[in-house]
Amino acid sequence: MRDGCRTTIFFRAAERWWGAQCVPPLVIPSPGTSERPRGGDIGTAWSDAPCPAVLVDSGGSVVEANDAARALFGRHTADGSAQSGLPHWLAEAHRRLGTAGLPAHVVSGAVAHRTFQAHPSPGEGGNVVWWLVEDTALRSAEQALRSERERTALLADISGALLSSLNVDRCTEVTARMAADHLADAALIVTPAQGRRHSLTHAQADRAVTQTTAHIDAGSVPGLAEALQGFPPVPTRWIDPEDLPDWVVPPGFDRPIGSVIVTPLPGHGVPAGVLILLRSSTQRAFTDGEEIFARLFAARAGAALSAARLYAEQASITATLLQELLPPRLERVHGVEYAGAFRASQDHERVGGDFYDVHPGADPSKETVVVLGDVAGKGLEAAVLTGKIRTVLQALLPLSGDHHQVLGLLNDALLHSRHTRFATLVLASARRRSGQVELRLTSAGHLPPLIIRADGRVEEADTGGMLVGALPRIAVRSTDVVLAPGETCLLYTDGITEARGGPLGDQLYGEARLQEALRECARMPARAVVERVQMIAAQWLGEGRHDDLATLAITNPVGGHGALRIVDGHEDRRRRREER
Amino acid sequence: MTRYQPTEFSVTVRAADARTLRVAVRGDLDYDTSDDFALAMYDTLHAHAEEHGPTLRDLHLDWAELNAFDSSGLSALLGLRRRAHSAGISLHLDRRPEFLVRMLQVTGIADHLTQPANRGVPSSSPAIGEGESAPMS
Amino acid sequence: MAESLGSAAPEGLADRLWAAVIGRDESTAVRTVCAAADSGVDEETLLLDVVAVVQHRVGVEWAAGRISVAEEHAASAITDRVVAALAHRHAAAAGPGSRGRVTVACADGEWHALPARLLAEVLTRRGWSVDFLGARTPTPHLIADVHRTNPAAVLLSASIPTHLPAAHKAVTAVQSLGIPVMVGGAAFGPGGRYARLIQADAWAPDARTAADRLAEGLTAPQSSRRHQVDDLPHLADQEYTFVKNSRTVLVRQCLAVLDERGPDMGTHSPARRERTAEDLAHLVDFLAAALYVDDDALFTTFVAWTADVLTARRVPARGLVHGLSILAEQLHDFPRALAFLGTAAEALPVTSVPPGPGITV
Repeated sequence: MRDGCRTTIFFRAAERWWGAQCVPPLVIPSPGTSERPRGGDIGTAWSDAPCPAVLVDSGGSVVEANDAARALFGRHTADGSAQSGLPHWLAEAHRRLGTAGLPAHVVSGAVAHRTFQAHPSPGEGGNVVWWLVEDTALRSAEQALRSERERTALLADISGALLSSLNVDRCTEVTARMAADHLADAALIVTPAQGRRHSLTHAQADRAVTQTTAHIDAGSVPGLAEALQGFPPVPTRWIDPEDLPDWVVPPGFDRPIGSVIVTPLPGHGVPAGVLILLRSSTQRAFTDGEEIFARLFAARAGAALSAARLYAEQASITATLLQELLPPRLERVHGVEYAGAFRASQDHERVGGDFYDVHPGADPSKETVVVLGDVAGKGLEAAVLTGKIRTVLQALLPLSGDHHQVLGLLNDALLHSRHTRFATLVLASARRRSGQVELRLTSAGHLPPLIIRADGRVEEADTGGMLVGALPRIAVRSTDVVLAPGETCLLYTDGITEARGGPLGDQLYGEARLQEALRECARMPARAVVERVQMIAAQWLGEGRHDDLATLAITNPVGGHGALRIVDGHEDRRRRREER
Repeated sequence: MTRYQPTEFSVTVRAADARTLRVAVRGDLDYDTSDDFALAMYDTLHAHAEEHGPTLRDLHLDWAELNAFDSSGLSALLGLRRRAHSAGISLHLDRRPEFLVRMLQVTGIADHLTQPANRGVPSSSPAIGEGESAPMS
Repeated sequence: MAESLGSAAPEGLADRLWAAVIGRDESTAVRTVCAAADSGVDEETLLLDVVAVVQHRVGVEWAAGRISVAEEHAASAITDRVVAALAHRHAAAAGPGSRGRVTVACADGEWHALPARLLAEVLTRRGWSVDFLGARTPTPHLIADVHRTNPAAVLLSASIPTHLPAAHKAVTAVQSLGIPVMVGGAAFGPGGRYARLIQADAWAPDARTAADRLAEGLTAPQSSRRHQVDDLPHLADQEYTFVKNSRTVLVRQCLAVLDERGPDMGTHSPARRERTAEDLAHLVDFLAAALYVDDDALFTTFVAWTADVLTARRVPARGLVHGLSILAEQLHDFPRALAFLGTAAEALPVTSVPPGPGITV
């Protein structure tokens, strides 16, 4: 702190006064018996000065003290003082000033439970006047501000950490960790019961957070049962540590517990749990300020936890509903390879208006039925319609020997449903016979499949017909195709050929480019064909917008029928299911 | 200027008399614009009926400046055909770009869309294709 | 899991697998590797010292022009089946992982899934429960999965440097959830220099190191640190943004210049013209990636590699030099981009290749 201007003037005046009058050393008298130095106005100014001032000689003895100093030091207890009657910190500062001849430094310290800054003004003969300027209020205000700032920063940190994750376990772990680090010696979070068990998350300094589930009696901790209800809000409770059941104390926490508070974690209408804070008896008990802070903390943690819980519930519902709509994983069935790939038009979605299915024949002599199609629209809404179509087709499988009949019945089903939307699709029936794969293909308003011959020729399957779901009657034309080893039949949706992009930015990918690219795909495994096509489409698109992209390859593998089943026995399961 | 920007979608009346309406469709008729197309056609037909009464026989759609067309566009076109036929109006698809020709060929509904409307029985039923003969054998 | 007899792969095993893979003989490929596993060869060794080696050779052979892109795809599909077969063996023998849960994914746009897949398999064998999200994982999917599974760490793979911006986005998004991210793959540059640049929590040069590093434990990032990202102050000059967003305009302008300078400049047939446009687009993509990480070496490396690939196909590399200079004409107002183009052009060997059947840029 800089010397104020007024202090400086005052100091100059006093110095002159000291120079003129050699004041005898004085012991500081007791308060009330002030003995004022004589010397006219200046002396009066010194002795009446509102801030305590003492004149100390080079030996450290107090030569003179003004009224304020006398009053102050009289209240100062003797044990905090050096022999001179000065507090130790001031006596020490004076000694350093004398020995080192250092430039005058402001020092600070406490006198009689108040804090002062002592400003030295060296005078003649090693005498120094120490002016004591009180800063008690400033300091406590600064202290309060500092802790308030720390708490605000901490709350901001806590909010950031808590709101980052939408995973319930992680949120709970972070809450317990932060509570143990910033609020108490140990923290426990009890979540509302799932079934009959509660999840308990224990945290303590320098140890990993542990999460367990246990059957506990909420009534065994005063206030816990009410707090777990979540509503009506209950106040934070102080608990007698003697009453704590064992499960509240974190494993390995061996210090005696001094104070405990139980704070509900308020959720959004649903209880998020309860925070129990423990302090060992070697630490001080919680202050009122800390309790308020604990409640602020609990409010943020509760909000984050209930958001995470809601998200988890929604995500789980979505996942359950999507399960039926997701494209299936395909593999080899009865010596024929199937591989599919789907990319939704929006990167954050997993389903859309394109769909495919493979329904394995009951045994190798029976046909496996494949469908790939497209309904108008995008996203979940379109996906729900594809789900209906897939279900109808599954029900019609026993009739799959006659594609016309299946498609006619599907057309009827769609026409009479509430939706007036239509679908385009390709039906394929596949069976392996003496090293060849025999296919019957029928397009209902869909792009005809492309046949990749072993020598690299690419042919368009000669099938065509009308889309289903819009007109009362439809007509379709089927075709038979035979795949030799290394040959592939590719079913795809127009998202591939209508991909817009390329090096010039605005070109349609188109059927010609696709056919050109497929020439290179002769003798490739089914998986490689669909990945190649998806990759080419993705590269063509760059980051441009696009429709759903679906591809399905039916391949007569190069290795022949001897080829093994290596993927997880899925096929066996399927067969068993169908035999039942 | 950097990425491909879709041409602004628009529906413009080119010429109109009591019996014939000529409309140009420009830009992308797709998932994002098919509702706009349906609304614009509804307004156009409504305005024509207000001005001339139920005299319209032929609705010509000019596709020369069509940029892209997807299944949502097809859906909108099927909806338009249904409404037009219920009012005895025939659709004509003029100056089709190659991709539209291909789309209509693959989906097998070109003939259905441009089938002459039956003037004898003006139907107000919303049922799809009610009372129509099979469009393809 | 079979008792491991040793960590070295049997002599010639990689060659035998290579022969089966390149001969598109899936059943032999699977049988060869499974037989080695049955005889007690450590599965991690099979994955990393046999399968990965064969896959690397596939890439080298393609670059050398000895196999086609389609053959490369076919070979990758077969190595993938080999990995699946080994995974199936392991799954049958082992229970669930005891070590904790981790997520392995490829950066968005990254199609090379095998390195990540091999890592996932290695981690599974070392006791981790692995969620493998596969090739080109969109960041929203990655984040949704991380919310669902709360992994101890996310391991992100990228092979092509043009995916670095996407990888950066994924890394910061995961870190902002307080979950550490380890990155790996050729995209992150020599010694993982770009991994440090984008402030990934760890980088590993290979699957074994990644597994070791993961076992030591990664320090969780402070989530708030990643809510604001200022890793790349050089982006303030907007050169990256401009080049990236002007990709098609740049390609068109370059093609127009080529057209002006005569029919022999790689634009004389529509197909040729499209190849040339693609080559130019690749140059622009890698230039943008180099600007993103502010490293001319990234671009120079790509240009040199392209020159090798072209030379292997008997296409003169002077087309490439020409392309660089035309691109430089279009980017004269962009000092960083110009410097990168200049450095790359200087690094090209000035060999006189006999005129080939065509000129590509």
